[in-house]
Amino acid sequence: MKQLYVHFRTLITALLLCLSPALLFGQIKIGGTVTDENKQPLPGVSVTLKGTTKGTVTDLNGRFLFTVEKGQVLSFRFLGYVPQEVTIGDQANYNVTLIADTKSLNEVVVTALGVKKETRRIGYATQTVNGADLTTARDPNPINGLIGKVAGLSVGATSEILGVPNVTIRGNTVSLYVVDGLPINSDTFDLSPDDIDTYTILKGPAAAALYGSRAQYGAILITTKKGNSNKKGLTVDINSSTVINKGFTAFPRIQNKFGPGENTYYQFVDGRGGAPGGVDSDYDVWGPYFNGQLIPQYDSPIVNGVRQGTPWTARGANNLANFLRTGYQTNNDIALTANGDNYTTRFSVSQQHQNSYIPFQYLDVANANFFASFNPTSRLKFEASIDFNRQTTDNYPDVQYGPNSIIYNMAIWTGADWDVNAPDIKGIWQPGKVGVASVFEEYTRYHNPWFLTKIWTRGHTKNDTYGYISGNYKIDNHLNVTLKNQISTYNLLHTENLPYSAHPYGREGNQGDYREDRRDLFENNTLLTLNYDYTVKKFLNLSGLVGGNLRSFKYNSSWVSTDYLNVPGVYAFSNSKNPIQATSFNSAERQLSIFGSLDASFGKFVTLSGTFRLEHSSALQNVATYYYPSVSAATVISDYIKLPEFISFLKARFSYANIRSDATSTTIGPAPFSTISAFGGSRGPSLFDNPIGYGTTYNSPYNGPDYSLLSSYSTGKPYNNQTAGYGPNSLFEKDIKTSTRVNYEEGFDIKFLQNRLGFSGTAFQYIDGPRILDNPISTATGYTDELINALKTKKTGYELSLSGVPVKDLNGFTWNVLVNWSTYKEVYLELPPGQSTYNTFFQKGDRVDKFYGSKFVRTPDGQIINSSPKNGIGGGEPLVNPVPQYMGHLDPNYTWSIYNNVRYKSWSLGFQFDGSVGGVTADYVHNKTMRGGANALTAQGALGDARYQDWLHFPANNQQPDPNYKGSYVGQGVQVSNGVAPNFDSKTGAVLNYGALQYATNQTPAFVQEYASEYYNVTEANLMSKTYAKLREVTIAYDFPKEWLQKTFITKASVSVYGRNLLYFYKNPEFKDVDLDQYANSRTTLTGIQSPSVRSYGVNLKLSF
Amino acid sequence: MKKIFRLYLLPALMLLTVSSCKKSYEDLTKNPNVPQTVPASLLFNGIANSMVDFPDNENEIYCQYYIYNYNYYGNNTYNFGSGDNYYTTLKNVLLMEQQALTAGSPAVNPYSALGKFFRAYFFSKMSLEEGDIPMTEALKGLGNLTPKYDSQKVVMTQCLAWLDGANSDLATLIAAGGNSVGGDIFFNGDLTKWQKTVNAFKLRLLLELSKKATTDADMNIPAQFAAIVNDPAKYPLMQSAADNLLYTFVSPTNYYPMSPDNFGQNGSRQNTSQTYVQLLTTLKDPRVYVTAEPARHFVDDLHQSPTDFASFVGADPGLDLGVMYSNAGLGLYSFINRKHYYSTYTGEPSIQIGYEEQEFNIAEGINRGWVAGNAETHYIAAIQASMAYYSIPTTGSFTAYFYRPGSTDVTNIGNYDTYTINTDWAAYYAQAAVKYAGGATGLTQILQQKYLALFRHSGLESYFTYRRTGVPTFTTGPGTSNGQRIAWRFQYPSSERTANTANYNTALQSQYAGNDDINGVMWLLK
Repeated sequence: MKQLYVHFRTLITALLLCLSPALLFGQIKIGGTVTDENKQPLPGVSVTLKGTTKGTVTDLNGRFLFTVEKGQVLSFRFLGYVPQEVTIGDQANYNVTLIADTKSLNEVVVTALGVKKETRRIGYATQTVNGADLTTARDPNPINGLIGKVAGLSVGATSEILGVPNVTIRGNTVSLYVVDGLPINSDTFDLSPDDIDTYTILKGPAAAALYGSRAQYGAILITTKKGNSNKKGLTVDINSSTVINKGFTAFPRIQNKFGPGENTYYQFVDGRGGAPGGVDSDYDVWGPYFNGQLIPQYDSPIVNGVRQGTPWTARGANNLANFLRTGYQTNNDIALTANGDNYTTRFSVSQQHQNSYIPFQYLDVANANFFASFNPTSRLKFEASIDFNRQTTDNYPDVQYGPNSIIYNMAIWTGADWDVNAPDIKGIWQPGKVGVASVFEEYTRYHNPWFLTKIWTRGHTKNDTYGYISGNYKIDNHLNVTLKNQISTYNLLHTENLPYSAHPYGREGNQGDYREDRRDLFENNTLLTLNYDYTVKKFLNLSGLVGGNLRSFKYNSSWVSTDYLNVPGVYAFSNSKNPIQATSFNSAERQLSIFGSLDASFGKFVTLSGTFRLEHSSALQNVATYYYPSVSAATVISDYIKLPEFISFLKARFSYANIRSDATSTTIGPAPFSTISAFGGSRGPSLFDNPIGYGTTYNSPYNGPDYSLLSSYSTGKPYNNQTAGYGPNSLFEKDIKTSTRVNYEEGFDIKFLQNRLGFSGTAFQYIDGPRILDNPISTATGYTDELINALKTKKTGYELSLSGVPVKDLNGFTWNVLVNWSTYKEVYLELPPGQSTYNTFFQKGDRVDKFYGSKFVRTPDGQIINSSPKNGIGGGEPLVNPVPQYMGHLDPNYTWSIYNNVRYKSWSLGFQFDGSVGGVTADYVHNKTMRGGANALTAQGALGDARYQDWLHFPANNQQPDPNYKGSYVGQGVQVSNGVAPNFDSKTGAVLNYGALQYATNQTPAFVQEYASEYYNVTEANLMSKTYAKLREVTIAYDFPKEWLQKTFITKASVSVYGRNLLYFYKNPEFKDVDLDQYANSRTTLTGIQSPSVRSYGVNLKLSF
Repeated sequence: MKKIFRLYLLPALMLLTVSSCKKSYEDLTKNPNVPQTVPASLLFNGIANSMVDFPDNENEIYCQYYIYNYNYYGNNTYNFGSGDNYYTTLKNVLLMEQQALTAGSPAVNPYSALGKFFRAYFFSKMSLEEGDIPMTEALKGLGNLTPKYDSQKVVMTQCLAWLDGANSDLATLIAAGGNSVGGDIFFNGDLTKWQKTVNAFKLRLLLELSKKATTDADMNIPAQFAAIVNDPAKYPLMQSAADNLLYTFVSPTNYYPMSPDNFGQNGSRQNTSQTYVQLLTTLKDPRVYVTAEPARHFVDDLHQSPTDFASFVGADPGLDLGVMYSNAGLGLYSFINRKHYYSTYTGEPSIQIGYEEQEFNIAEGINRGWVAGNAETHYIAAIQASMAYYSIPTTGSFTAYFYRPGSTDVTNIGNYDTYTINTDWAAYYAQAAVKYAGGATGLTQILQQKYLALFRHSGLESYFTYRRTGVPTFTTGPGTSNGQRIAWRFQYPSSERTANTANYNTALQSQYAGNDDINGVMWLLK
């Protein structure tokens, strides 16, 4: 270690000597440190020699060096601080304290196209998050760290490997990630958090209008670290973190009193079902009570050809928990920065390894980033940046509901009668049948989890490369021109090795498969901009840019699969038993854009801004030209009106934008416009066709044409490999125009008490439409839908952000707090022409997120009406309304977050709570486990008691056989007692003949399995509130004091321990089996199946030298 | 400076060349992945596939043949939603006709002739399910986005006319010789077989209108029926089962819906219905040994003979599903025959329009007095064709296969108990319940036998027959829901409600008191 240090010191010294020969001439060498009022060093302060152009800036520690003559004046300037001048005397050391300028708060933010602007001049809402804030308590996906940091931004984080979070701004999924001014096609896993300096969230179209249609839902601007040009020489930054995933915040709640089976009966024959007497296949968890009775099971001995009974016990009571392991992930990043007088370079490499808490499954991400800038002359600057990212795994999970999912296999459909850690189960294969037949207790629908996760594997490799080169020439102090050429490209390969004896939906032949999904995307942007900045008579400042961009885009993909395998375990197309099935997709797009912006500042009064973008695009029915205008105004009232002393800053802002969008899609699936129907998957004219009937479709970034406005025929092979053709099912209005979003936004920013307390409020209104609408039409036309320009909706929302420093540097103690709150609501403003309803139930003025689902039929006073028996037999189960009924709205009422950071000297503690309130959804796992008998509630209370009775009396169980037993569960509610059938209005579902119905309390007993299967098949029984909260993160960080580090080569060191996703607060325990994070910001009518959501605990170490 | 230029700008220019524009903007708007048009033969193939009614789906539930006992997979309720929607297929029929003309075919060509048949087939089926439907204003695309509804009478009259046209066009084409269609999955382009199908189908359609034979004399229903039966030269009919319009299952592309692959999932989740099995056992019908298996409780616990008709028991479709499932688990019901339906990937061919049905239909027409003739001859021919379909000899013996309890492989012939079943046509036919009696009894006998012959065939035909005749007796209960009523019709497609509101409401008002009521009674059932 010591040796290493010596080497480094030599290296640094050598580099310094090489790079700074010019430093050593001159008259007097002086130096010093610039700090703020709190004695915190201020890096980046501009230090100039008054009356000359000579100057420097302070380094990270606020230090500066200068060669001057005695009597000269140095001036120190820093945005947001009062400038200061110092006359040079005899001394060599100058410590300067800059006082914060409370009057005008000149924060600078990055805006569209990477243009930096003072916030005071911006007329729309943005919020900035420091990259460093997200790497301290890091999540495997950098974007997940943004949860709760920005009002109006919401992240639907998933707990799955390669699960792309659904990032929404104001309720719309944002897909535009802009790195250093140019858009990239990102899945968010390809961003290297350690290379990110800041995230700037452009919330509305006005902010992002310069990017055109891709920015209609806002944008996330990422500014990468470029090496601090203020600090010469070599800097090394190391960031390392290790995280373990242990403990679950949401976990399926399953019962261990009853085993698998049907009608309380179970007997293993061969696990393939259908055999009379055996209910050993594709079963429910409605089997016998665990009573130690002898039942033939999958591992029971066979004596003289007869399978013997062995004790029926809950030997696998905690199968799922026993199966999952502690996950972990490691992240290491090293960044080297070398700067000289006329260049800066930064090189960083990082690796991330994520070992899932699901055995055998993992993901590796490696990233290399190189940035260099070079000023050959003071007017000319070249920059180049390249980022390479590689995601790779041989085995990642597919959690989508189905036999491919561990939750499906372990928590929903198999019982506690088998032990996941039993040697035969862990051994995976049947003796003598390795590679051909796995060991499990069922062989038609369910899978041994070890087989499922170790043998049946999915591979993923994705190489992302993006980079640019640019040249900037300063024509004079007012004008500069930039030419930038950027590429964003990826290629990916998805594979699936489906082994023999795996039997997912649609592939019940148990003969394996091999599939490849390959995709290539190439995008090139060439951007030419002219930036200008003129001040007229010290009052009117005109700045902005004009430019053009040429975007070319090309994409091709193929999806190929065997149709069963000849030789087990050989995953190659040459091993296909039946003819190979394949499909391909190609697309291309070109877009020429011309744009410009103008910011006009009228002294200290107001800044008016306008942007304009003209688009010439190939991604519509015909070649189309269209434009987006935006205007905004910002005024800092406190600059020109005397306000009470406690208000230190007040700004008002307004903006308007009109964004249009063409027929493109932000993501794409595996086999667009697929013609494959052999595997039972979806097939149709869509970008998202999945040729197989199971599993998740992996959607990757696309941003290319979706061809949705073009009429075309389709083909398929429905019978005996013969090709069939079908005409188009869509009609198209002539000359479809781009869809339109008009946005108005109003806001204010106010700061109190010397900026100790800041409050920012924004209101926005989006009028969406007329959009390009795929409108269902009367099928009697011969077509199912027509693409038209129609339908308007209006979204109204509010965002509040409060930031404060309740305690500031009180004996080394500082407390920062950030509160974000946001809400929105969207309603139908204008339905398609000639329609009084849209989407069956919606009328003008209705919320668009009204949720219609199935409900029970009730008496006028609200009691459930149950079916009546016939000849005294059966009935007693709830009647379900044939027409979907209103259940509630899907969007939350509001979302909130509170982030606190308490700092005491070198220690800091940060913690964040966030959540959302209001809205409903239906719980899919609850629906499945209640119907299937696995849910803990099916073995409790009245259901559990009746279930036990059902078992006791079922004749085949030989307990208290009763051939006349017809169940004992009596459901709540009534029955129609006078034999009249209820009639329903086909539009509303209203009971038309209430007057004719007479009721009696329901007295018909039912079998619990039947009752639960019917009752919980109704949306109403699975409806859950979306109100929840989370303790998102807790971070304890320690910065090693400078004094300690002085004697070492290390300039900065900090360590933090943190926890993420620590506590999940949800009111109704019945639905605590789902983690709402994933669904909070989407209009999900039915939650999916998800892996249990885990807590993570990590350690992070940052070093700079 | 020059060096800088080379170092930095050159790569920039190179990148530009890499992404240079080879295609015009106009070219780029096109979707290169899909065809802009396809020949008539491919459209024909698509249409033919769309007309198939597969076995093992809801149709069999509604016809009370083979019913669910397991709520999770399905149920036996008559809570009908929207009916079949064939409009997009009908649009393909139009496109097929256009393509044939574009390709240079004369105005009367095989595609146009069969186009008429397809129109009649699809429009009449939708009308049978729903009532009045858009027809004359339908299929006009942008030309008419809100087509008005035609009365069921107009639809049926037009369908009969189309069938007549199809028959005469086909006659012309066959006479000319050398005509065929491509993409024919049923007859490999043999127009003579299509012509027989057209006429057999017309007989079916005329009988669907049996309640209108006298009330709507202007439709000439009996006369049209008689014209076909009396003039085989003009209206060739199917001569044997070899003329059947069959959907034949093939491996590996088109498995029978029941196969060894899904036996484990589905084998015990449905059982036979009392409506079907009780009719077979009452008639001591040997077909029960081919299509069903004995209920194991009676064989294994009560030690009845597995070939005793009393051992074959179907469940009452009206039974509460919980009770039925419990009973099924106790072996109280017959399952579908494992050997016949589950042991292979191709099962049996599914008859869409068949000779058996045609013969029953002629028998019914004669019985109704629509045409002169010997009903019994056709009745017998039909029953014997159905027996032959199951390889049951009129007189002789065949082997029945019943899956042995505890067996582990449905494909292994060794896992079946085999029984030799002797058949004696004379004895079978001599039964009073079978021997054609003429009159009302005769009609019931014809309809009962037709019901038995259509097991797993011809989609909803048995449901339609029940609706107009009440034969055989369908049962209801909590398991059939809908207030223990058999629903009388399907609802209109849901898009009609929002996109064709005025016409939809008018149609509902004129037929069903404004409600899209599944218990409403359509014109041809009145």
